[in-house]
Amino acid sequence: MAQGKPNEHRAQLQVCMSDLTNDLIASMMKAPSSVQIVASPPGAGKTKTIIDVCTQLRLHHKKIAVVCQTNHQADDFCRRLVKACPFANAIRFAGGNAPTEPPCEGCRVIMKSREFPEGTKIVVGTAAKWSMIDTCEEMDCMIVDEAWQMTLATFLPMLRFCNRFILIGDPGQISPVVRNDTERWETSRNAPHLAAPGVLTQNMKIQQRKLPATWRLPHDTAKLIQPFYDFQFDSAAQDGERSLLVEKVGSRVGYGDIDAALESLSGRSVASVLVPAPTRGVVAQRDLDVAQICANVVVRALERQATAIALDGQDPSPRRLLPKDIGVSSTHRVMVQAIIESLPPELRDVIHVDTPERWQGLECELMVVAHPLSNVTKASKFDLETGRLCVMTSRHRSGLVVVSRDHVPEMLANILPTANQALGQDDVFGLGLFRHRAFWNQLHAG
Amino acid sequence: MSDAHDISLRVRSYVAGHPLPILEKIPFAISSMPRRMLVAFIRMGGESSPWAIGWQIGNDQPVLRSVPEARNRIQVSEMVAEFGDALLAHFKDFEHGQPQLWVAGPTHIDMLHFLALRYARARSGDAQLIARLTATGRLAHMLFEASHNPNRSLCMNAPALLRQVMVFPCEPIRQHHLGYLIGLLNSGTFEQRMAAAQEAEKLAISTTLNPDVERKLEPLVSEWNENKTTSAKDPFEKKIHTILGAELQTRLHVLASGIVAIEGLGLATNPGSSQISVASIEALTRHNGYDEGVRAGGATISPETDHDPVTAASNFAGSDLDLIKAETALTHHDSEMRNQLVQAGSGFKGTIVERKTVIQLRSTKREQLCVLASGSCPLRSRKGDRLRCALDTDDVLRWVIESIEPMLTTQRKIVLVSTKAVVAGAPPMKGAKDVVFYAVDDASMKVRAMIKISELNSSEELPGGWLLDKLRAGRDPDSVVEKEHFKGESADTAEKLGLDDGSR
Repeated sequence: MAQGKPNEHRAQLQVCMSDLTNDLIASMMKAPSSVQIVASPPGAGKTKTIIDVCTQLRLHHKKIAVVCQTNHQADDFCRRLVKACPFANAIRFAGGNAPTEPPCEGCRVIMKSREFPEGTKIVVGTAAKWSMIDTCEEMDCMIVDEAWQMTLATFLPMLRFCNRFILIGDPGQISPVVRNDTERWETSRNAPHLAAPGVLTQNMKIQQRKLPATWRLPHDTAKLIQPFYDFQFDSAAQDGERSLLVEKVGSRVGYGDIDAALESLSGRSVASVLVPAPTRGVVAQRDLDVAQICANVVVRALERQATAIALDGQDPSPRRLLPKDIGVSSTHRVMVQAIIESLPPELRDVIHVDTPERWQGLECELMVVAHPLSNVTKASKFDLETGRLCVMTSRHRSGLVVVSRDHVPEMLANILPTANQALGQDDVFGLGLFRHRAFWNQLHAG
Repeated sequence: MSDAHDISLRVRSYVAGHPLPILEKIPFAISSMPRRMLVAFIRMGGESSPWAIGWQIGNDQPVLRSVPEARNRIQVSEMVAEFGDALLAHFKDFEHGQPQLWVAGPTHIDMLHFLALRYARARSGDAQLIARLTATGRLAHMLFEASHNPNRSLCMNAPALLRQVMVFPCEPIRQHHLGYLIGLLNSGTFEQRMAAAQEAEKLAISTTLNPDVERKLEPLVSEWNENKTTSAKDPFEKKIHTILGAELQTRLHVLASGIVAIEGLGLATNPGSSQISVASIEALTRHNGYDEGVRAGGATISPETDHDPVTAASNFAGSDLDLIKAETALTHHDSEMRNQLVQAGSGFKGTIVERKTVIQLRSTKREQLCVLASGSCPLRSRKGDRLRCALDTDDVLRWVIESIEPMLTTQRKIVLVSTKAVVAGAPPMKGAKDVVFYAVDDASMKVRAMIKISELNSSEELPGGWLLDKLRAGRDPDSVVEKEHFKGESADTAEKLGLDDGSR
């Protein structure tokens, strides 16, 4: 997309999004049965698009089902829906494990489908809930959020309740998590373990629609994560519109690299802290040194009174970061626990530290991540899958600090792709290697 | 098990100078002698088909069959049909105990897959031969699938089972040879064991022959081919059979020794394995039903993959369920399995410092435990996770993590609440030391998921049924391969698309 003045650029993007929403609704109203797939970069307004579609379909007296992947996402969606449309008649369709309290005022919790009210409604539930209920009245439209996290096997039971679907999600992020051996279905055209939008696109030759730009990420971060996607996207924030400033305070022993990284966030949105790999070898999974440095970055950012500036936002005045504005992520749960325990006690409950799986759909001002290859000496297909790295590096609005062991580039250089995938399938290993190398080079460029 | 954990175990075993058990109990049941069928295959270099097949049921004399020319399809199919008769008869009877097939390594399991691919849809030969071969192919397919399923004890790969129970002081690549593992299990010093293992390793026990044996057979096969229309071929056939028979005998002998070695480990059998045996018999019953259906004109499951979306999704959910069921059945009875989970962070060990009854919503009574756990161990569990306590005797009871609080000492304070009311005085008690809580998946959700997927095929009015039809029709009807798959899998769809030429 051609970039003119920043505000004109954003206005153009708004028009694109609005056109896409109208197009989705028109297609939905026209066809008696349809499936539409929307691919989106991170922070591109997926939820906003779904809410727009819901509110407009509601005006046409439609019954709408919204499928989220987790209870947390479903509650969050309800809150945003009610905020955008207080009279939406939102229903949180909850299972036994979900809280029985409504996520917000203006939304009620229903646990049994036979208790749905008559007429137009927007029913929000998790994929697990929708796929396991016995009966339900036929809905006019089913919208699946974060659809690339849903396997075909989970999607198929949804066909019992609707004949028009919109699947919207981020293809660059985490693929569905599967524990069992899937070798048997590697060559199946209807591979049940793969993401539903991917299988439907391939088998039904559906033209995917794309959301045009990320609204969350700073301009240079959008470029950084571009290799994770096979389509181009833009950023609403232009070069120099987002920055993170830190106050000058006295130096602390052992914080030199951390201070340098935080200071560099005034000019670019991404910084790197390299930790020398131990001579005895890299620690598998629970690397206490890296955990401590992640915690130190958080502590130092607060000590130095980090301030976020977003000239593209509604309020361009500087905003000092509070602990709740900072997030930390690591791919291993044991590492997450180690980072929590490395934080000062007063910060443990306020800093959100979690795995990328749980960070999906969330955002913060400053993100600190432990590079997923930091504790890997010989990368496997799983290690090179870039979905988790993509999630971790696309949560921030102002700054990102990546903490890595310094053996990563050498390890990446020494990998020889084997291309041992099943016939006709993508070379996930080779693609992951290419993407990791591109990310690393971009991270450390200039 | 992680690489690091695996390496540390092997180092410990090396220091000890002998294999060490890594589980408290054997996680599978070994059938009684008459219910065991030992099988060995041999194939010609460069060929996929079996050249010779040997089998032995219980203490019966082994049956050794071979063909002079492995590239002769007719001869091979007759040999396979004879083997199939024995295999089918063995697995037909599960009234007298669970039948098992034992093999000496993964290449023999691969041969089962080959038999499925080659014969499950056989169409050449007389009707009786076709019926025998297709039934053999179907059963071979089921056994091949069972060999990869942790919730089945039907097809047993002896070296893999030994590795599951013991850690051996040698490189992983050597541990696929059953004879090598048996050598290491012998008594004696480390050097004596290693010498025995290296001696045993010289004998090939996979489906391929040692090159020197194959070189001996090569001229005999050529001579047989040159004289195959005359009686002059007979001596060559006899010589070929003698050599191949001896090779089969070797493989069956090593395999029998492998079973003896497992039984001689002196470990008890995990009580949870009985649930796996039950699941295995259920699977056999289902297979017999499917087999009868095919004989009555029904479709054959594709031995390659599931092309139909509902079949694929249902089998995928079933495989997930089997994994959970097997883990749930075995872990609760084996302290070493639980230790492995704790070391991987999927659980914790601690001391219960407080136990009290709390009242939750709708006046429900729940037990709350406060556990002091080691803070130096990795921990994957987090707030909201459901754990099982090793002391619980109630299969349904779970403990939900309410909070995890790091202490100033190297400990964590973890508060858990029961998912149901617990009888006062029931374990785990306050003050109980080294109580283990470990993560378990919820099988009931998976059962439900599988049922809902399977129901798609029986639902008459399915609003989104058009999408299923599109997925089914999405394959290329001009492709010969696709036609083949259609024939075997979905008769209705094949008919609709005009792909069924009636040869099924």
